[in-house]
Amino acid sequence: MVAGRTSRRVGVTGAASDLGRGLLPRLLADPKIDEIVVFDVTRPVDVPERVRFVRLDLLRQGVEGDLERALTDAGLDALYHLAFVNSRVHRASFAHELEVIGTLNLLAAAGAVKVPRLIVPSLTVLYGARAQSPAYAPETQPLSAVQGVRFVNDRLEVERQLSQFAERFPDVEVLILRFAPIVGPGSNNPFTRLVRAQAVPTVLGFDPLWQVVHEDDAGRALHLALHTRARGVFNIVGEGVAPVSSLLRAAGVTPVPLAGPLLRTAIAAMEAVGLSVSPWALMDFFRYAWLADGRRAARDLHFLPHLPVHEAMATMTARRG
Amino acid sequence: MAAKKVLGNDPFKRGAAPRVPLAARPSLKTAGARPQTPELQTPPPKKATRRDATPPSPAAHASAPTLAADPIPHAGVPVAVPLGRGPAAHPGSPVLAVDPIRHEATPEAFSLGAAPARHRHSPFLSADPVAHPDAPVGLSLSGARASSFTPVAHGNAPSALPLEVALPHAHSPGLRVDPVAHADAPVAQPLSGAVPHAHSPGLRVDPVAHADAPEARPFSHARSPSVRVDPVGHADTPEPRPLSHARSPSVRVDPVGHADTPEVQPVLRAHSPNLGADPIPHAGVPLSVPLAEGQPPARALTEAEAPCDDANSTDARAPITPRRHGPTPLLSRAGAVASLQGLTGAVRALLGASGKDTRVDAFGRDEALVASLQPLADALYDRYWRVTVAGANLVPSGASILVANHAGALPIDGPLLHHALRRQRADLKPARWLLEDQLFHAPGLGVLWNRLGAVRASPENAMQLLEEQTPVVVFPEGIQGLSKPFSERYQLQRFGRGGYVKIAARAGVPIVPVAIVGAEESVPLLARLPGSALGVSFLPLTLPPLPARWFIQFGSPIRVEGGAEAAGDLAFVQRLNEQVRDTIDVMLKDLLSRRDGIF
Repeated sequence: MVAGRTSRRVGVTGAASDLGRGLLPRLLADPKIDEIVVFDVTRPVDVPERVRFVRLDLLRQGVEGDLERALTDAGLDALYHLAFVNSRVHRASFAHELEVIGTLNLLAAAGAVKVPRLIVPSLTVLYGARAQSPAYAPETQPLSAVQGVRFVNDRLEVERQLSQFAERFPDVEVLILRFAPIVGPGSNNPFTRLVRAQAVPTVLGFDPLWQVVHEDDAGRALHLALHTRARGVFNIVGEGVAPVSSLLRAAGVTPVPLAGPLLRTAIAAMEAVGLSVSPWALMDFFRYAWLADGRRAARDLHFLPHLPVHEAMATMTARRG
Repeated sequence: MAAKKVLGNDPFKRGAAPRVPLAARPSLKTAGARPQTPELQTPPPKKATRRDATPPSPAAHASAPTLAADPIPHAGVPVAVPLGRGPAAHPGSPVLAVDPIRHEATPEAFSLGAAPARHRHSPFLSADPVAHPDAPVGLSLSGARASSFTPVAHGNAPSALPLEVALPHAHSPGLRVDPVAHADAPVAQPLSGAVPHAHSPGLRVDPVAHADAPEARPFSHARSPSVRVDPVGHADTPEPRPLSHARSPSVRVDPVGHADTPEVQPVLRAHSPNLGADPIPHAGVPLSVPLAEGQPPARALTEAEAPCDDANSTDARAPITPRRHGPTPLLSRAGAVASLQGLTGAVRALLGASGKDTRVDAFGRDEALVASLQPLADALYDRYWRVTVAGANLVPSGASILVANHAGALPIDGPLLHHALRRQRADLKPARWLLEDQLFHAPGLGVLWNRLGAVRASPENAMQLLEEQTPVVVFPEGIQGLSKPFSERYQLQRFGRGGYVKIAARAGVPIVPVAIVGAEESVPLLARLPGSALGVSFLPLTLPPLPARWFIQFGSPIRVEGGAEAAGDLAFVQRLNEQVRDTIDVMLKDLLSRRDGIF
């Protein structure tokens, strides 16, 4: 059991991602960790010397062998797999390759080496915004795809792989942290791009409740996942919920409620001029609440968010000046 | 009881009681009768109350129990003493002190506290126990079939209070009983027994239809008697009861010549204050079924209970001034300003344009918005809909599932019930009501309702709320309750699949049946327009909310034992579901039968 040991080696893929940059300082500050190994194609900048760097391309043909060797050499106690694409990608095929195929390769190697603990982030968006779901989605709620939204569907595929992996290798402790939209000055993901717009169209007559989680809280949750004895899925959500209109305003964005048909046209028009904020299929998220129940994380992970939803959103305005 | 009978006082109802020609009515004049003044006037109640009363009978006086004399303590429940202007104000008037005499068969739900004990205290009984062996009942005026909220009572109903009250005083003003009764109404009989004891002329029962033509009163009741208190000397023209009862024998208490007229009016107002004062939870015991026993309800509900309501509530606002007091502004100026702010917030919520300072709780309720709408809600509650609440103290503290009938074209019963609980039971967490999907996701309205406290109906949501010790209101009829036409008003629909029973069993919380009357007339569903364009199953065609009076009756909690195992027992769930439905049905019909007019 990892939790009982005093010295640890922790591996991280995607250390340069938003989550990786939030996590690394915490790992470096953690006295219980002896060694941090970063797997990446290039050495991430601003990473201190004590971090060991292992060059590895998750997408290269036949990477499993290299990966297996690297993982065996590293003798890891836990592996964070954070190599996911959140930034704007013009080549969706690359993002798909990295997330789906990259995870596939990584899981194959991790299964062979029997990494004791595997920690992977996911999204609460996967629960979908559905009229019939309960107000707070428990971790057991089935996930659903959103047609035409790459970053959701690829992550859904990753989740499928992970659940199969967890079944196949019960010895490996798999922890999946499903994050509410991560906001903060250092974050760049579809949600932060949404709230960095001047105005966001919403659906007239609807004002669903949303959650966010601040990037600091997200990093803390990832770190806590290393030390917990629990395993499985955890929803990582910020404190409180807010109607989307209020949430957008807190970030300095003007919500523009448009009647459904008008909104459809507006989205098409924005896409035409390259301002696409969200495809029509995402409009359900502007109609129905999509909240995740974070009680399990509080109980088993001892994760309590520090920033309430409105304050977390306010950090987005600070960055914009 | 047949629906016809129950709804017999419903003027909208087809097949109301046949009109009995006046000439055909038996006329009964009793001893000591004074010449009848044909034009009887109802003085403004306030005046009546201010008249100084001289206790006509010391004995009666001595035994006059006020509510305070109620020997059974009502634990934790402030016994509402709506006799504000009654016994307290006029201690000399035994009339006022007479507590509604409860019939032995009175269902518990309407128990007036210590009924038997009160019997003993009743001046009425003590004054003349022998002559009135059937005392609680005997003086009632009208037939059992006639029942309404009119305090003057019907049949063997103890709701005959005012009359009962009047008679012991009987040494006072001339009592004249002139009950032209319905053929089927045993009116004459009790009176004949009673009247001889009345050495006094003042009480006149004037069955003949009033000069105010029933036709002029569209909402008048068929065959329900009405009481008029007419202390002579009041020249002020009566404000005619807009909703009086056509062709019903009508009782007028007319203490002519007696300067010391006992104040009868306050009695009317003060009538049976502690409907809800029964502190003993009747665990697992469904309400007894008054109507099934052919018993009229134990008491009449009148708008006079409004003060009771207020006394009971934590809200120390001025008592409700019902319609008789002439037009009063719905809102004070300050209240209007505050309400305007609240309304602005509501419209913003409706449009999905909440401000950046909007704070909502975990289920989307915006406490600031609710608070800013408070003055408006209070005005609507007190003055527009004049909500009468009974039995609020029966709601157990902590988590419970309140099961209510759903009615009206717009789902305003949820917020109103929520407001009633907020007013009456400040000790509870604000209740949340579960709203069916069609409403919860209706554009605009769904958002507003959510901000005011509605939660989407789902077992998970209910369980989570109950875990947080929140009372949860459910309307098991769902959209069916809202989509029935006006002609089927107050007819309970199927109670879903009993999901609330399962939740109650699983969570181990009691079920409190609640009957709500008033929604159907406030927002009658006139037609269903296609609404698929807006994502709703239909658009209700209704009127702007009408000022129908509302009555909310809480029943005794039903404890659900058995936990998850019981929740899985479909037969058990169905049985309990039916039991709750029947209980609400009985309460509803009872409320309807005692309702004195709709508006």
